[in-house]
Amino acid sequence: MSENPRVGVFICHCGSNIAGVVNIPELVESLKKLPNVYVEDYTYMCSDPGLKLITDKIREENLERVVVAACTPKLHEKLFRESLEEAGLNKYLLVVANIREQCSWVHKGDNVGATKKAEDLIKMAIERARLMEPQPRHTVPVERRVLVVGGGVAGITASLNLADMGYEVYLVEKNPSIGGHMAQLDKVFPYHDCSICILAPLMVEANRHPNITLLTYSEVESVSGWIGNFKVRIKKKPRYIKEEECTGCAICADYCPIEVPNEFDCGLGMRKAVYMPFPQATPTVYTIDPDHCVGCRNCEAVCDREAVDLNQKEEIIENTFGAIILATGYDPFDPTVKDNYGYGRFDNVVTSLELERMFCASGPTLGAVVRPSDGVPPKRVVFVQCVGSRDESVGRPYCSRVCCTYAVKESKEIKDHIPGCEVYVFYQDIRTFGKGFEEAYEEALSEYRIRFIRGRVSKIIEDPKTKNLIVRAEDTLRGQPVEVEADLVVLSVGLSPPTAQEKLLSAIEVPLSSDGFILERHPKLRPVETQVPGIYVAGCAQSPKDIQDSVSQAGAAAAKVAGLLSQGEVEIEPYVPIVNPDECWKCGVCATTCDRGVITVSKEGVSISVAGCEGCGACSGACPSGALQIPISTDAQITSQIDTALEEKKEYPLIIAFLCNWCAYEAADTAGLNKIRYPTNVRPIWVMCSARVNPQFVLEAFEKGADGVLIMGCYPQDCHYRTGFTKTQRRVEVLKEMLKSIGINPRRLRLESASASEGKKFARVIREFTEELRSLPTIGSELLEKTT
Amino acid sequence: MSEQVELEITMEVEEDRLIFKWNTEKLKKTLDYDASRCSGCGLCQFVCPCDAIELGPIPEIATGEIDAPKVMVDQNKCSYCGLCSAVCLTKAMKLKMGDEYINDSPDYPQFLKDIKIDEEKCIPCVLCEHACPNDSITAELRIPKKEDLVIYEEEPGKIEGEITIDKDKCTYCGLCERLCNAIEISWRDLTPNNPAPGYDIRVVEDECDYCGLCEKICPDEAIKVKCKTDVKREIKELEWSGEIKIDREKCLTCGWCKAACPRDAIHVTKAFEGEIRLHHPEKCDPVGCKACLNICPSNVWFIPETLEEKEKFDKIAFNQDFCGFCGACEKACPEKIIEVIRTDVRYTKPNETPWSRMWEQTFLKLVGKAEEEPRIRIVKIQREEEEEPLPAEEEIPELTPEMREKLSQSIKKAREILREKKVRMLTEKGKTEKVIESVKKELEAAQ
Repeated sequence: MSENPRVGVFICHCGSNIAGVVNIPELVESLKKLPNVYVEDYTYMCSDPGLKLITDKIREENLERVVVAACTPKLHEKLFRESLEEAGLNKYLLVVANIREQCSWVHKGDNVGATKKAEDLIKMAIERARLMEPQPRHTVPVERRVLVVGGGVAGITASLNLADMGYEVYLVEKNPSIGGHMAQLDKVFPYHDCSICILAPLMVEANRHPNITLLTYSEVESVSGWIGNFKVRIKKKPRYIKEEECTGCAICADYCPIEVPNEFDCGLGMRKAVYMPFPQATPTVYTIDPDHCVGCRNCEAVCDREAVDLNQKEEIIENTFGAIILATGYDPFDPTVKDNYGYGRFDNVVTSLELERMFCASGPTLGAVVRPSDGVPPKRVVFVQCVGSRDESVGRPYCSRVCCTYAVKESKEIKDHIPGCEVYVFYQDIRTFGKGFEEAYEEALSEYRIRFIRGRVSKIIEDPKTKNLIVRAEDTLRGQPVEVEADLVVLSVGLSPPTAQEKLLSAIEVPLSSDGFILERHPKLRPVETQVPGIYVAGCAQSPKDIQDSVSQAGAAAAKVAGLLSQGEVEIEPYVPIVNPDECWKCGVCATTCDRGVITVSKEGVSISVAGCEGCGACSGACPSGALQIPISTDAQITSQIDTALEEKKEYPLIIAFLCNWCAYEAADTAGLNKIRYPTNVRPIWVMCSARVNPQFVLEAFEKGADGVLIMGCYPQDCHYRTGFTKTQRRVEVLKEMLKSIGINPRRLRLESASASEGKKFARVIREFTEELRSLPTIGSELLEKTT
Repeated sequence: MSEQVELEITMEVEEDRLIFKWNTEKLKKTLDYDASRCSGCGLCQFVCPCDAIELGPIPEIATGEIDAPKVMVDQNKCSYCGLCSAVCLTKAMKLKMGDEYINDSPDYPQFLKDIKIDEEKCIPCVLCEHACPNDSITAELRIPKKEDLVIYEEEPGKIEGEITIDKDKCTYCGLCERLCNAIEISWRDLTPNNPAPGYDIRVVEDECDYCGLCEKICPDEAIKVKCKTDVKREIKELEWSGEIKIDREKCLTCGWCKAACPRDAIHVTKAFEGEIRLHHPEKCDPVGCKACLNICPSNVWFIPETLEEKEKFDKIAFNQDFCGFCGACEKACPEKIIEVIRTDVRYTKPNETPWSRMWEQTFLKLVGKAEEEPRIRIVKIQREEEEEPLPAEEEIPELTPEMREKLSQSIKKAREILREKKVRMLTEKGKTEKVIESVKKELEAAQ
């Protein structure tokens, strides 16, 4: 390869997304002046003609490196790489300059600043591209086994789909039985199918399918590894009952003296300390609840199959999986916090899920809809919509999607159970959008004569004698206040992220969206992938949805997984570091900092195990000699970006920002997606992990004239590489002291954390840092002050 | 729904004991309630998970008005789990699972209450035996009688001598009294404000022959004997032994023995730490009532005598050192004046079992430290920030060559330091303080 390779720059207009803010003709003129650079621009670089343009020009103009200035590399880098390969160029000779999410979308209104920044970003990309070297293809084998976390309808569907395709599936469920919330429902909309009747056969199939290993009462303890090769530790909690021996005969429960509220019945009914959560529970075995067992041993005494084993210990199951599907579902919103509705204080205010349990013929009331206070069927029922949804005050600003349709269903069911009953529904909007939903709503209005009143319920008061409830709202269509006395109030609670998710996330680090559900790779095009390659998501774990959408999404996730597993291998980026033995000091710092144990140092030199390396780059960031380099992220590539950005300081103050691939860079892209504006004073440099940042980079930036340096990574407890951010914290601590000692204000170096969905925070940090630096004089002046 | 199981529940009465049996083919459980030991504290009723225990009219029983059982067990509601027997401080409730008493099984937590004799400090003597309010300590002393040790060949005449007992040194250990009839110790009934059993000692000089054996046996060197007459007699070597025997079944770890022991030879660990509080003491009728005095198994209560005591306690007084915080007095007081607060509990950690959590929570419930039901969290959202207007075009201050030179020089030294293996190694290991110290020194030296 030549010393000064010829670089082709392709600038995308992205319609008006980029062209509307960045002055592209000006850019093109300016860039053409650079030595050995060829410039093209086009409306949609990612389209077929756009890609063809790249391929053609590489051949025609003998381009040796390519820069595409367009949207975030996270979106189309793969596509552009293919157009290089088409032209016979190694695909790693491409650098994408992000001038949309991190430029045009966030600097609307400041076209001049945006254009200057875009120019800098492209120049940085050019210098980096010049230093890229061709890389061979890296593949790792893929394990043909899938882990599905969560045994609700989405988890069961995904498992069955994959098992039918011939893949081995482990289905892990934390509760004693699979079935999830769908098992708690009586009938499902819009045709009032019996829920457990359609679900139970799937549950049975999941239990008996030869390719599915069902692990109930189990939790995922830890996950390590990468796509194709996840090493997972599963903890199977002790039931104190031998699953193989138990026939579900129920005699142990008959003699158990302890009764506690049954969670499956939302506390409306009781169960014993040794219990089966519901009659169709799968597997059909009993479980002893260690939170309430008093050790009377009656169960042990009466079981004639000797199935009770009070000495049973937890079991640890470890295995390797090619892919993981997260189908962890939701928790119903707990309306106790909405004090004005009186849930928890007033007997006759129930949630929609509690009503479902009452509808169930095998439920706590054996199918009778009654008031909890006196067991008498109600004569007038009021539904309150949007409880815990579309409500900023309880931290749930989103719409839960299913409540309107299920309220229509439940209100009709009440009329079916109690023919003379009056039913009112207080709503904000009626969102019955799906197939058959609108028709169901129409039927509720015309045939069932259910009264829908548009207005938010402001307060519910209880009559202490009758325990009836007075519901106050405003009828906004009539424009007058309305008060209804009801003997039963049903709160249509929304869907919240499950509390169990927190524990799971300490084992598997996938970023969440701002609503607390798992963040999808792309809201439109990649709804079943998470930010972590190899980990997929399906069902309500990704966002609230109804059963049919959960089932569809589960099928999509299964298909994606099958696509991954069927190839037998998966390609990984060339992020494994390489040592230059002539420069290596054999000091061992790299081995010390790598906590994967991938690096070994001996007097022969440094050796790195490709299989274990996850490419964080911490070793390279710690190397004092500079001998350890990552092919697609070398020291030279990074410093060339720093130098280029500062060559011609176009604005003041100027911040060089190092953004980590998993969180900070994503956060910056999220700010772009949400069009949150912030000052143009930052020049971002992509790194795999904040620990890639060698302290020498920071000094280089200051030496070349940066007014501030920002290093942004994940939150320390969420770091994708677990300890990466912690390493960065240590280095920054030392750096700040060094800066103080040499006379540079340590406030110029800033270390921040953000998660992938925190676009707002990213913008705020840039804004605040810019302001702070503005109050300081330009870099170097504090040194002059010292001597004068 | 279920096949029938052969289950037999019976109740037998044996003197003061009620024996409830829960028998199946595979497992036989026995709940043994000894009413003579029961103090009516109600801890069993407090912890029973099946509401199978009911307390009798404790105040009326304590004042003597009614003769009724303090505790009643519904044998059909009872699950025979053993929680009551675990918390019973007087061992009135005892549950046997098969052949093993729950209190002996490592699968169930027990109170960590203990009594230990420090063999080095203990003589032994009779004081702890005298002090114990429920006959749990026996001093087995094998002290020979002085008559067997002092051998006269012939009837002696009058023997002259001197014997003095220093009452400041004497701890009323009682050994001399056991040895010789000539010494008499005045013993008294113990009261909680006066736990010393002996209060006076005298020699019946007519009976004393000044043999000096008492001086030898006295552990406090309180007795001085001088025989002034030359008597023909043989005085054998005084050899004696003894030990303190504790009936751990009966011992309440009240601490009376500890208080009575002058040598600090007894170590008592109680199951609970706590406090007794009196509310509205003016309602107390110590003459007519005496419920607390009657019911307390550890003899904690007394009627104040001295001015100081009367000022501190008013009508009815207690010595908290002896209290086991069982709460029987609280249950017995008809005016509800007494409050017993348990602040801490000591218990053993049992083997891991399905019931470990419930049992631990039960012990913690006794001191108000049981886990609460999880509360709802209210999620607070951040306030939307006002979007700042974008800054106008500004003049960019110049980075002069002079500044660049200065920057370059200063940073050069820093860069060199970063090329030191030691600096990088210590940073990666997290020993940032050490690094910063050495780096600062180097940089300051360079300037």
